[in-house]
Amino acid sequence: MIKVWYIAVVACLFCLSTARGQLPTAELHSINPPAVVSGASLEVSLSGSNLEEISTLYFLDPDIKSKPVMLPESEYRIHPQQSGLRFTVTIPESPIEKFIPVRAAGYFGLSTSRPLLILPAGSKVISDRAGSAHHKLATAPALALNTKATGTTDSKQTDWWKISVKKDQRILVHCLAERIDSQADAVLSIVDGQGVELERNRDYVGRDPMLDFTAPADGNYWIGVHDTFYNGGTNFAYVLEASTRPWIDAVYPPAGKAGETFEATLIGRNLPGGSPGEGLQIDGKLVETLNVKVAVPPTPPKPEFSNQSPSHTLVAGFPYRYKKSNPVQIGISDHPVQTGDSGFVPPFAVAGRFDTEGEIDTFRFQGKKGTAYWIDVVADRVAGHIDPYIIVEKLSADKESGKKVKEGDDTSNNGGATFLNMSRDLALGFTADADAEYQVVVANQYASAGAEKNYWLSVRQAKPDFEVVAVAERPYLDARQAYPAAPLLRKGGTFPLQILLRRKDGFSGAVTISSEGLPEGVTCPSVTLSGNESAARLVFAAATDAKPWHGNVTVTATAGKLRHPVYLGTLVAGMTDYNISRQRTRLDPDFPLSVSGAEAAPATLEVGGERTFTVEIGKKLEIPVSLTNKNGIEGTLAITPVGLSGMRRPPVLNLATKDQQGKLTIDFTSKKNVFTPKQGISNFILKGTGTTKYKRNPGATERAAAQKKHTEALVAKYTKLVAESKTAVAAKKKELDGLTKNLQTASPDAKPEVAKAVAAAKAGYEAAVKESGELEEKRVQSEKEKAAAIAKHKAANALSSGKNTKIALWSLPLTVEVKPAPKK
Amino acid sequence: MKTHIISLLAVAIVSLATAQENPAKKLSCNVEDVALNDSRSGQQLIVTDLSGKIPKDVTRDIDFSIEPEGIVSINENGYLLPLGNGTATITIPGSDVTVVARISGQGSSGTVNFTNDVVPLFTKYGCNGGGCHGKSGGQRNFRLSLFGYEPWNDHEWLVRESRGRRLSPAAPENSLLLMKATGEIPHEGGIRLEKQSADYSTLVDWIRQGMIHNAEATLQVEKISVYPTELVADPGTQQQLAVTAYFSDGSSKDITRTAIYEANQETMAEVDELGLVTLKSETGSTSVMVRFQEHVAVYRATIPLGATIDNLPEPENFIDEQIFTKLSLLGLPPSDVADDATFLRRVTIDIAGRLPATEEVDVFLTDKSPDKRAAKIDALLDSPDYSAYFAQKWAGILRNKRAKDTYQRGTYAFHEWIREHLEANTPYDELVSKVVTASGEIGRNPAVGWYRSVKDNKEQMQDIAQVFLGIRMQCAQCHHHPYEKWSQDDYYGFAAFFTTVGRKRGEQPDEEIIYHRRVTAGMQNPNTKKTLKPTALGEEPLELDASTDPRMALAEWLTSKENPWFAQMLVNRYWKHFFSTALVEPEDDMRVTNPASHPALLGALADHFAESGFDLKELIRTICNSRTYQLSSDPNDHNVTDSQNFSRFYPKRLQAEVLLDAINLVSSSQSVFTNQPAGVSATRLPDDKFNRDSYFLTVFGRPEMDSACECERVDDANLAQSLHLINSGTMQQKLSHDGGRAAALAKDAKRADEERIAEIYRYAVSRLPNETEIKAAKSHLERKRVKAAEKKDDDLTPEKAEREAFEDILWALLNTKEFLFNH
Repeated sequence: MIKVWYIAVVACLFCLSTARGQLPTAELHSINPPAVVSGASLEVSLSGSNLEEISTLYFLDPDIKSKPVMLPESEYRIHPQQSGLRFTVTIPESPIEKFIPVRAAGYFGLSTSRPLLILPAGSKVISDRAGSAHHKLATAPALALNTKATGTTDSKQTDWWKISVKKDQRILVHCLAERIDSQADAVLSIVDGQGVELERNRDYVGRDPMLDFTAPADGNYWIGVHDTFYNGGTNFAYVLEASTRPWIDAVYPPAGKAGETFEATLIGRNLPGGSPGEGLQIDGKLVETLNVKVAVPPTPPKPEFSNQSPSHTLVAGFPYRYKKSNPVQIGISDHPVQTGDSGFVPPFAVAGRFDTEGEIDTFRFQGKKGTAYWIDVVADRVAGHIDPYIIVEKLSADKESGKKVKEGDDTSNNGGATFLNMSRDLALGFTADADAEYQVVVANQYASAGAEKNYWLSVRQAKPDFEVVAVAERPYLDARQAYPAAPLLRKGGTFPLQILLRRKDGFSGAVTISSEGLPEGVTCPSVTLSGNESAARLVFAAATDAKPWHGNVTVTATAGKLRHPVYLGTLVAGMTDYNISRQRTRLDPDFPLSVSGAEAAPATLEVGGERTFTVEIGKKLEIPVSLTNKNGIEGTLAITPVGLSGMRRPPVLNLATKDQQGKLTIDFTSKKNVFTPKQGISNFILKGTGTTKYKRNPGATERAAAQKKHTEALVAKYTKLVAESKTAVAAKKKELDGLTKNLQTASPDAKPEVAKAVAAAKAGYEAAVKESGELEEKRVQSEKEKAAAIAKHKAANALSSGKNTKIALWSLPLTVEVKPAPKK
Repeated sequence: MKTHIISLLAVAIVSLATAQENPAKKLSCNVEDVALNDSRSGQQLIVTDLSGKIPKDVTRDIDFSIEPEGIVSINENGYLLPLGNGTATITIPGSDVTVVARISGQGSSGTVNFTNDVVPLFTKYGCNGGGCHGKSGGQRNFRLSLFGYEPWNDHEWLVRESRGRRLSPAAPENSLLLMKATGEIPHEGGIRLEKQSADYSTLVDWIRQGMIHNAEATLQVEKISVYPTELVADPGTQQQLAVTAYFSDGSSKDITRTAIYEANQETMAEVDELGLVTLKSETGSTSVMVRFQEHVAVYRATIPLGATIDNLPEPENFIDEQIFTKLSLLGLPPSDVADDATFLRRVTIDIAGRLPATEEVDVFLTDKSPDKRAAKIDALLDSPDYSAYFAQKWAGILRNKRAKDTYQRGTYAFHEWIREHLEANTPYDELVSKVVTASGEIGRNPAVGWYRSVKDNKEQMQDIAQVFLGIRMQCAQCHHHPYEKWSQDDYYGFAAFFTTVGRKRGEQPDEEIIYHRRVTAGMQNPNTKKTLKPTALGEEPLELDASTDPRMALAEWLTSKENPWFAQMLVNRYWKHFFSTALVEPEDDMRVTNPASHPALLGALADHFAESGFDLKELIRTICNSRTYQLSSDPNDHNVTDSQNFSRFYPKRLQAEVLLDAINLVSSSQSVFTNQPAGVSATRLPDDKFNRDSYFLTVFGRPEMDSACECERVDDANLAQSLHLINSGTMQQKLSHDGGRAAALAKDAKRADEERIAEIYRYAVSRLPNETEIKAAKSHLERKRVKAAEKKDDDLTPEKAEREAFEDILWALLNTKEFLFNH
């Protein structure tokens, strides 16, 4: 590996204001351009925070390569330097368009991820460099059909792109912004030459817009892109395309039986061979249908990287593409998916669609007394914009009326305030209390209708299962904050992840979370969530002598024969106040972990003895706590239990750093609004919050000092050389003047000779002047470099000399068995 | 409504014809046969002289002849009272009018009915008004239901409350109620009742008879009527009204003496407590509201000017036919049709919310085609400026308020949604349905933005009623509507449509999802504790199951062509937009007791609108193509005071946003708004938040979008506005910035002064300056130049003087009424 020194170190110093609240972790905010053609190389640049000493980009696919773009060699730089956060990425050929996650690897390990759009080999992409020419129709750059343009929105402006379209040609204008983690909330419009708006769209795929435009006449039209609030800049990237490629809005039925091939109708636009004959519409636009056979894999493949929330990504399904269309998710069912409205015998699956506003669908089946049924509806997670609502009714003997048995709406959010993880779909169970005909009523809470408003529903006996997401967030967060983080271990430190367990079909078993593939010096005790738990924390811990490392680890959730991979859930962007910001969450298909090679944790919070306790309700539990202070905790560390079920106001142990030992007492007496202990086994963890004097990247200061010294030496060198050169110039001048004088008085015979000497002296003089000028330029440049180096050193020094920084220390997970109060 | 004006005209025309055929005096009386069967009844007689050009009430001038005597008496106001049992014949000498009065039941007081005889007296004497015992909690521990709408409560409070001390059946005259009312003992409300009056006797009789309520035996008043309903009458004329109540058993009774009268415009007519109307001199139409219990009726009077009209333009459409017919009736000559320049500026501002571009002015003024005005109207309606301008109007009405920063995405989306629908000319009924039935989240269905702004079910109902029907239901929340037929049951039954509106968390904080909760809709009347089913106004309650969203049924009823209010409300609103004055004022308070100035026109416009498929652009096209709209605002000798007959165009101050954009255009400057594109027009700002960005918008009355009433927008001119225009930093900056028009004109020395002055006029007032104006402007330029040349002021360089001079001219023009008003 090439040893390089990084301009990025200094570049990122400007980002530090946001990191002063806690120990930094690397956050990648944007990749520009966000789309790369496969089978080729392209230079990309990054922005983010704490991206110091980024040496490479990190991809799950080892065949994807990247290397930093270097500045040309220069005597002013003591070591080779990287040109900002720029990298050349080489992607192997891909036949399909897809997103892959990218992370930056540097001083703070692996960063959070950002999606990179990989395009099939041969795709046409233009990088927007039109600048303000975009702001007027007259100067707007041209965008050829089926060519992608990458750009960023400009503040207070609309980016205009000119396209040429034939009469009656249907084009779909796609704008990817949310899907590439851009901050832009894009709005698309299309206008004619008079500026008359012909189409406009705000949200179509999530918050990304799409325009469906059929040209009324041959000619030029202009596509406008702007952020909803007319914000712009590096983090407001978009990918734009005016496409004639096929687009699938929906597939009906939206699911098929695992391992079988089923007849499906594609509903979309520009579908080769598609027919508008059915007259279906989406948002007032006529859409085409095309009948195809779809082969369903026997088991769900690993989820593709997407901007959907974890609850959406984890639904059993697979991506389907028709020719060069967009991917559309098709569900995988345990049963054939029927499309009729009668003849249902459990277990069964059925598809439905809301064709008119306010429509409800009903499905009747014969229930058997004492049988537990589960009804699972999948709509929001795979298909159109639907919010299903289910009512189960038991029909009267004459089938004329129904008595409500159960109803439900939405899958709850299991991520709490900081990590929104829910869907509008739901599953509900009921037990038939009689042999009778039952009816499932499905309504759409949005009351919307359209060709894409479809769903599939299954009625079956319970198939208990679960899904697990691990969430990484900054270890220390102020109130109402939520920020993503890629797990980073400092030597001797820990990094906790929230484990969110969603139980399905009444699953009530214990689930064990364990990890594999950890590097040497890193441990991660397994955590077992008891039958009444749905959340816990998994903690990675690094030994004090752990070696620097970054890579992927494997985390698995097991319950008996059930075994599922655990993926990392992440917030797309941080929030200073989750009460006012939109939360975007998604699933990363990798599970990154980094161990810092340079930094050690400020302290280690440990629990003495075993980490398993037993307590009776009404009694107190004392937990011995020790603190190994390595880098200095300022003042006290406030230690509280986190995650204890029923705990609303946790007790606090304020541990003075000089004490290093203490006991946290938890009273398991039920007290309103404080603690309502629950019987059974609970996982929890101790969190200690305090302040440390954090010395950031001392190595950067050393390197800055070396650079400063180097430039100082250069200044001295060139100052001296310039002085010498000036003396030489003066001598040459004197010589030239003398010879010139001689030439005037020389005899005719001697004149040629003297003239020759004058010419030579003149040349010598001019060369000396030139050399002196060049040396002066170098001296001036050295002075500039020196000033810059001094500034950089000063900044680096300020950081590495230590700043009070809030921190949170986390213990390893603890378990307590809460027993009932002794009988009196 | 339509029939009213027809009958009005018919009376006038018939009477005119009658007068021509038979020059002898011709009288008529409002009744021919009177039957009174108790001593408290009476009958108002009204004698009308039909001999003249205009029918005239001559009741007070008549000497009635009564045969035999002793059965009835008639006072100087023509009010007939019974004296004894029998039949009397009343005649008027010199005419063929005969009235037969059949009197019975005299000699005994008869049973006094609490609801129909007693309670109306409390209303008549103001006892149960909002400022007295009718206010919530009553007055001095004695309360009555407001305007007597709850007689059962009144009876309870009168008879039983305070241990029954208010009434004394043993000695009725000693009752606290009567002694207070007659001032025998101190009464904060003063003397309300004379002891000798018939009303006093009625109360005494009721107490003596045992203070019976007997609600079951009470005849329900089903309606009341007033005679005459409408008339054309000369200024100064007096007209006696007669009011009749019609009961549930088919009987009727004169209630002229117990009904309540209220003139709608006291500058045009006054009315006394006995129903005698005195018309004043202002030309036009006015009305008097008559109220009895919860029933109302209206008398309308039209006061003509009587001038000769020989300049009526050729009617372009039915609007002109209606307006010009009335002007003819009134004898009120209209102003001439406005010139092209005035028309262009007016219609561009009214449809597109902007000044015409100078190129538009040039093209339009040189265009010789006869239909160029219609073509311009079409072009403006097809322009994006139309939808933007009217989206701003509707965003205010639909309360697109950014109450929190987190609302911003939604307010932008909702505003855009409105704009897109207006641009696509979505039929109004469809547009309204989408708002009323909106479900989902704001990103996909921005129409739910209305439900985010208006959260309370009652408020939702009130807004819907006011915005789309012009019915103000607010009063009926606590008591029966005082000027309308709406009861509390009507209020809560109508609000019940919204009781299944559910909300749940949306994609981000404050972006909630609106949905139909699957419960049975209903709302409780807190007074009766009865839960009311969804009931459209004036309709029967709906039987809806829990799965049915009642808003669907509401939308269907609301937007039906049969709905009497829906189309009328919209056309009235739009009429006001273009004419400053609505046919019914205020535009969203349409009720029987607040009649239109031109009822037939209102009806015709509504019919036209409904028949067009609720086509908003067609409505605007119809209005703007009328000659009425195109009349000059310059008054003639007769119509300077006209404010309701549309005999001329009424100038209106430019709306805040339009004015700001106009100033920016003329001064060649821009206003900067947060999270909006550079150079955005103020008319395109989506929500109220920008009022906080711009003091200009605030001071010129851009609405805060707190209510559904367009009255929130301040169109008046005031001192703060004048000061802002004259010497604010904002104006100074716009006039004097380096990239501005003044700077550019000052630098452009190659062009003649006249040309540069003309440019300012073309931008500001869409016309070329006249000679006087050019002379004045040139004179100012010259003065500045001389001053600079004289070098009396070191700072005043010739360049600076030139620029300042143009700034001054701009400033002066921007402060003219011609610029500030649409005229």
